Amino acid sequence: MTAKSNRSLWPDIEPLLSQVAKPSRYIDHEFNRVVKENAKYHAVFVYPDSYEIGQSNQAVALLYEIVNQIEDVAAERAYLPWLDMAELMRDRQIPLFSLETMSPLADFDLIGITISHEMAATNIIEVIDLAGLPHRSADRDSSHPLLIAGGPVCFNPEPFAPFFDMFVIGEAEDLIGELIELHRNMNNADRTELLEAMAAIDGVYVPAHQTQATVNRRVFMGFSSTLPSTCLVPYNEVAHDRLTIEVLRGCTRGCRFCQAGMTYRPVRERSADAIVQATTSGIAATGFDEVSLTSLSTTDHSRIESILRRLNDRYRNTGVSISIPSQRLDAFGVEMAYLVAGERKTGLTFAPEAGSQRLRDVINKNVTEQHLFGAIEAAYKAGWRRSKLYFMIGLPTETDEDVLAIADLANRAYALAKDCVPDKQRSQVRMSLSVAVFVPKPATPFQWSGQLPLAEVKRRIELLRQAGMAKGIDLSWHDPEVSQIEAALSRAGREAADLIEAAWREGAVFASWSECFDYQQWQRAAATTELDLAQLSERSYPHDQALPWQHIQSGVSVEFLLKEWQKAELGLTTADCSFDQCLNCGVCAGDVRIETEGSRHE
Amino acid sequence: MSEQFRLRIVYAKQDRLRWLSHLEVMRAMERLVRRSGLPYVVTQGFNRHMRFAIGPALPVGTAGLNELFDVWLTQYVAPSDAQTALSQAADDIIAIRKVQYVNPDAKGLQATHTINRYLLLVDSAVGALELQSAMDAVIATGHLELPHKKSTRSFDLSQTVAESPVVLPTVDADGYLLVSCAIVSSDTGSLRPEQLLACALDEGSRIVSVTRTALESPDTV
Repeated sequence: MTAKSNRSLWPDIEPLLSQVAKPSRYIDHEFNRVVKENAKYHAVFVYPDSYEIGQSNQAVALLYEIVNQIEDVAAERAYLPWLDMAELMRDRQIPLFSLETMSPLADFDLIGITISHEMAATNIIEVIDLAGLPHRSADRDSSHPLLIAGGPVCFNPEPFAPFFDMFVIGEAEDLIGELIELHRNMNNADRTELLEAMAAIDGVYVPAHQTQATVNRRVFMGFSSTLPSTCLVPYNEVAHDRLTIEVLRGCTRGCRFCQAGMTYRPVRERSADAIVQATTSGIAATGFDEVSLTSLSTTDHSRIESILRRLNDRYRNTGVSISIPSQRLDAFGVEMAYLVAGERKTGLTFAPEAGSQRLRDVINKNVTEQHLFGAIEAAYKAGWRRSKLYFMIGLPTETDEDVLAIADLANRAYALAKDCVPDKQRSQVRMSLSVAVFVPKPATPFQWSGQLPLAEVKRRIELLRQAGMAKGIDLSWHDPEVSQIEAALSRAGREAADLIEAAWREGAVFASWSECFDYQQWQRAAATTELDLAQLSERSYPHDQALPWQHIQSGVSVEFLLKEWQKAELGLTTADCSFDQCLNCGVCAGDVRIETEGSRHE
Repeated sequence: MSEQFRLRIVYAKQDRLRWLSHLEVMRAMERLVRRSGLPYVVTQGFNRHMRFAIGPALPVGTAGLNELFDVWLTQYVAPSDAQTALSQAADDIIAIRKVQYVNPDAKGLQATHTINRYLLLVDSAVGALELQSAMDAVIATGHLELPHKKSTRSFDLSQTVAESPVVLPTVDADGYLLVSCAIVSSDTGSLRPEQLLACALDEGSRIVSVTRTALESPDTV
């Protein structure tokens, strides 16, 4: 275990602040931060992106709170400095630092990095490198901090495996304490012995420990009975600059492309009373003027109408608004249109995902165009003037007709929206169409499917662009080249670690930022490592072939995923088990079960 | 409309918070008011928000010892109680120095408080007398042309400088010279005190820090 010095790097950092953009990223001192004096064990949780992206990350916030509640243990936060700051730090040999005590990361006992998406891959190397640590676990020893990773990407940890000592698979709330306690108890153990002991913890994957046949996802069944935490109040305008209350976890709508829908099962709701109480105390403790009730599908909460009504009553005429991140089309009626966001109607988001009913059935979206039109009518009649529709392009079995159906559906929804507002307000009606490129993800029914070739994705986007969209519809789409890299990394094996490191050497950092992404860096990295980006992203796996991530068990059985894939090919849908009967997906067993406050029957 | 009470708060933006931008300070102060539980007025427009006005902006990196913001309340709260509530909500991060009521219909802070008093710490390669002479020479020219984006901006020093820079007789703990001055802010772009002083500094000198010590109305000067 390392001995953390009390050396603050602030005197080295402050002189740099006049030379960098947004210096408030680096100053700490946010309200509700925790600084623990005299702790005996020090952990730092890192979000590998800029402060304004990472600060609102819920995983880091949760771990920060939980670990700081452990006696003698202190948790701090760190984010990746922006390019200008990183350059100055390298020039002056200043290592990556934590915010609370401005300590070098290498001084901590444990560094936990949250990996939310594949495009953060090279940022991870940047974090490790700026911290002054050897990139690979094999090159580190007991004098270095333990480096652990968590987050959705860990359902295929292999492309990242050489960089980390271990991975947390699933929900870390009640696992992190166990892990820290073991680390503290094995203070003097050698690295191999320590990692071997860590591998025995349920939900921990140690890549160097060859005998781990399978690792089961950890499920936190205390979710419903615990209250969400009070969050930090940033100065900087962060990505989600509001109080967030996680109202439920898990979603069993069963969308076949959705990794979160498969890997956060079962559905667990917090009670309406707990949500209202957490919101009230959270607003009072932070001073935010907005609360977002977050989850994978907030409108599915069995008490959502009551929650929204109570919160709207509580915050009427206070300038505080209540929002939910996106709305299920089939759960957004006239009533909900008046309840969401109270008086502040800035925008609404719906996700039909596909333009045709055939393709919506393939992906098991279980919504119809009547649901979309009903939601649009309710929203625009209730005073909304802007909405955003999410679609995907390149889904399995997609044809040109499906692509053109996106434009047709959007045009009809837009025309309906205009019909729903008074004549004088028609010019205010706007609709944004955001089109993502399908990226097959591990642990989903589409995990065996390859991504479309880059040229074909581009052709289909062009087809949509030329399809004739109404003037009030703004079309935007994800960069197909970014999506290709994402697909290449999401289902690759350990060989992709070399690709990631080579891309970082080519200068790829902040690759999820459009202004920083450079496809040529990845092409050069692929050439160096003799890997083919097209092959990695487009390959389809035979159903009987071992997958690079097959040792990671999400809880949903391979048999269930395969059955869902076969139903997708036939265009057959599957119901939601939290509304209907159990589908035997494999998740619920023993203590792990659905927890809803009321009945979800529609 | 029911009666409203306009509370003026004097606070310090210093230490690490000097690195906040004007917008960041504004957001932080609004959140501070909400945390304090004071009964603030909410505007009745399309986008309802707290009725709040902040004083003239400070550049990122410049500290302020007596910065100002106004918030309108729906009920009278004794200034001492309001100060306690705000101070508790500010934790130990922002110092709330003074709280008082002002005329609800008075002009805005940015229109009235146009005299900006500054204190600069200077790591000077020359002595106090020599620095004073150099500064006096700059003022005597009567105007400054400073680069601004791709062009230049011209300042009439007789209008812009309310009090010429003066090297104070004392030095700070690190031996830096202290220079005070007062600048008049304007809607069309204000002269920064460090820009004025930089014209008088030789190559071996540097400005260590800039602090706005007070914001005043010309009527009270």
